[in-house]
Amino acid sequence: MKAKALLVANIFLFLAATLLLAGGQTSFWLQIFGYFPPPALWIPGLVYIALFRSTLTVIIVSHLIAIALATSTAMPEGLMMISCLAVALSVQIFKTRFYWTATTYFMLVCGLATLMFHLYHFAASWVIADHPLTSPAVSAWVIQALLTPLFAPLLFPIFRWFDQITHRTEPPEITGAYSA
Amino acid sequence: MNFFAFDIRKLLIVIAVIALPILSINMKRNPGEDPWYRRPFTWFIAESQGGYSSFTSGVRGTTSMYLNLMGIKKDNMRMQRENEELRAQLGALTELKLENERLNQLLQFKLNTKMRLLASKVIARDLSPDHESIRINRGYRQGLRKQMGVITVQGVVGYVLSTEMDTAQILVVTDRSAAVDALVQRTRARGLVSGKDSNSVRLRYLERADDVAVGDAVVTSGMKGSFPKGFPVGKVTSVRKTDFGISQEALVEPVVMPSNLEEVFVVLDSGGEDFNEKLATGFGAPLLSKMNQPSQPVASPPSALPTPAASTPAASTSSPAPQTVAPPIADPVVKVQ
Repeated sequence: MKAKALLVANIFLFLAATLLLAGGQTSFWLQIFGYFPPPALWIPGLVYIALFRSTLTVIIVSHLIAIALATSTAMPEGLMMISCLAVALSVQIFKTRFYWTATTYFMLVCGLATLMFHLYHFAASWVIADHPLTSPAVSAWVIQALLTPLFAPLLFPIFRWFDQITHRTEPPEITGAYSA
Repeated sequence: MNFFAFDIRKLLIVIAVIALPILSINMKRNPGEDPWYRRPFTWFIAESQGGYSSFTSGVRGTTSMYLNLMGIKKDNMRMQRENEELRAQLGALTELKLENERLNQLLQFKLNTKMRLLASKVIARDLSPDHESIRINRGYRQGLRKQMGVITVQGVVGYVLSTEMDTAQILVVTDRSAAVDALVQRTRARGLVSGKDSNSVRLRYLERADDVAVGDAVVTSGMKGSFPKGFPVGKVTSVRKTDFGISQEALVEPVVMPSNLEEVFVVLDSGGEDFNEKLATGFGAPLLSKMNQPSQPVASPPSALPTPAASTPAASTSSPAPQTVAPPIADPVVKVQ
């Protein structure tokens, strides 16, 4: 019972953090830097979950994150869910092929995930959306993909702290026991 | 020992030595007289005094220079701090001035219209760079409802997509899923404006036979009541007509760029306002000055268009000089500024 409550608390913490970061991205960045493309601050949360959780958990959390974030965008909810899920699963697949335990890895994956999110969104808009994306803001994609990794190392310790206070077993990759 | 038994020579020497100062005091000192025996001493003392003097003045100079430098450094730091504070104040005042001008413009606009408007501030932008929506600091508690129009003094911004208690999400007209009923002002050709990218929108579903030309003004139709009638949307930059099909499409440059938005109006009630009468020619900032003009339109050549000065906020807040404008639709060669 307690373990389930801790799991829910963990997911809730990640959701709250993702929403707070998305708020910072859409509002705080706007007040400081105007309409210059902001980093996708919510992506590292999704990446962390995708890297250090089981596939089932990843699917559930990515859907929850998509539903929560759909309130901050004009993007249809379904499109957001598909794009988030595709990103999370891609990160898991990527991890099975390439992995090393370093901050640079998390940064790299965050940057790639940001770019992948836009690519999946672009592709999905042509397949399932009523209004396909005809004029993608490619420059904004690239800027986001470059800016997001800069913030990833700052967010990683916070996510680890979430795991610690909710008694999640530290990922073996972090503790050094990982042997892939 | 006999007290009086002393050497007379010694006594004389002692008396002479004692008497020398007395003799010299009593001597009168003549100015300009410099005895030969005093010269070496005078030279020496003068030199030593000069040496001391230059040494002490050097020390004093160095000390005072050091102290002055300390003072200058302190003064410099203080002045730099003051300068930074003044610069910050100047920046804040400039920002306040600009905000004041903008708000004054909005206020004048609000006072000069039949519409019921609610001023609000843009607090956030869309999460995705491929979608164009903004969030404003007004929600259903302030009377906002879905589909209500959102405008600025310059033209149409978009409409309310969703409302929360104290905030609302606005779908900007440049978003590809946005749709606003619009007319070509010159020919009354009707179409649907929807976004293409952040800098342009499309006027779609125009009938193939409709007369649409580059430079034509596109305004709201006012059909649904979300927007006032004849409110500026943009101007046509190109027209695309395929060989087949029943419709044509025009590319429109919106008068309001979403990247410049800071304050907007939500149209709570359009009040049957018709801007076709006020927007005889041109677009954009001159709108306000046009609204303050006498209502009887008089035909005039294109040179009678409002001057750029009339479009400045300062000009718009004061009572502008009466200007003549062309009738809204009758003039087929209306030029869009």
